[in-house]
Amino acid sequence: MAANAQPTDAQPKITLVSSDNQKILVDRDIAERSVLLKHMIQDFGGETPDQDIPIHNVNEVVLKKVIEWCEHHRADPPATAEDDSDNRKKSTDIEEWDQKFMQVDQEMLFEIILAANYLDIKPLLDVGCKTVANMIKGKSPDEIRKTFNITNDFTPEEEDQIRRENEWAEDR
Amino acid sequence: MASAIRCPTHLTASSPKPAASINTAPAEIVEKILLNLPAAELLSRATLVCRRWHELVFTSPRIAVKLFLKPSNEVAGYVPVPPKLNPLIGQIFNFPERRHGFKIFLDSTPATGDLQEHFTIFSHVVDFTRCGRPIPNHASLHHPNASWKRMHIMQPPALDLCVYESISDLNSLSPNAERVEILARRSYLRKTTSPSGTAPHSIKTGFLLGDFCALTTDDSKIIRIHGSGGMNIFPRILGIPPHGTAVPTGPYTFAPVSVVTLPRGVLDG
Repeated sequence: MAANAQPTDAQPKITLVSSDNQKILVDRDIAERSVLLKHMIQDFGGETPDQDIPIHNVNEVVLKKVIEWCEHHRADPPATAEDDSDNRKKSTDIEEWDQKFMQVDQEMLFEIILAANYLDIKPLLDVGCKTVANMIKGKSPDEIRKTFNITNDFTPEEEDQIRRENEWAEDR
Repeated sequence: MASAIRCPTHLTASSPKPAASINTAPAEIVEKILLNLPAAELLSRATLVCRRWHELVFTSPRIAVKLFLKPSNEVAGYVPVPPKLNPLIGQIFNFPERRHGFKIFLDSTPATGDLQEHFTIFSHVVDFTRCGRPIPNHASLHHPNASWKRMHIMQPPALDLCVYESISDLNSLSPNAERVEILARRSYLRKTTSPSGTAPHSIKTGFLLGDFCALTTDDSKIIRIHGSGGMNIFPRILGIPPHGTAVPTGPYTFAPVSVVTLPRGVLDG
């Protein structure tokens, strides 16, 4: 039952259809970087599905970007099941290729994160979240709001109270 | 098996999708992002950004564990899980060089009969007196609702407190050293139960300053230990039995136990 990895040139192809109805042909092992797709393919009986697989939530541009990431990380060992493993790594630990990959506008960055979440590609989700965290680090609350276009919805009293409760942790 | 392949559609937006941003991202994503921030920034800056972030920081169980606000679910015991000291609290502890006369250990292992044996399992014992550094802004610690007061000192939470005095060689002081006299040990916390009747009280947080150490427990009671100074520091443990419980004397005797409240300004010393 457990089919071993086949040589790349013998890879069966799978057709994904983006939310804007564009067909994208990918190698099966690339598609299987997505746990969602992997399970769907397994549900199909383990054989490579010959039908198109619709990806309702991800448009062509984003899907291609996600596939680009999966192709680069094709040889990575599978992610560990340990959900807590992300706590051990420092958020600055983003490999160079991934850093460049993530140099996109903020909307695209969040599109990639949402797609990785939907498709269940944990290492890509981690890289995306770390990238955003690095954009937050070292900034004041006001700078964070400006960076992400967040509205300050506190009353001045609330804001003052929260500041007082936590300012002991400032500047260290 | 010829049915069409379908992706889950429950997330599909029926109305035009708003531009992807941190504001439209689901809470689980924002939580994942925030978990990558250092604890100090998470607490003192991320909480001030907006209500959503503030709420996430204080309601997400994973963030609460990261900030030592909730106990980690790792089981303390003889499973080799070395306790992790709260890095923020470690900086509050202020233990000046000249006070190196006694050391205080916290422990999250279950109690055993023999005290010496108990403390030879050193990996489970944190010497938090080594972590003390002066905190730049003492005034901010005084706020009645300062968040450090709700924090655990370590994960898994400390259940035991031990005070040692070194008789001669201060530098070689360790729980295994022969010339260490155990002056006091307080373990009633683990013997009593919380108001809910289940979990034992754990030592939450505290500080060392000058010649005393204070620790708060789950129910915000304060244990205070202080020494009289000099080489012959003799710490006395003053504590409050939770909810009027009698303090077990156990096999070790303690200095008199009495109610201690922390006076304002005491941190300024």
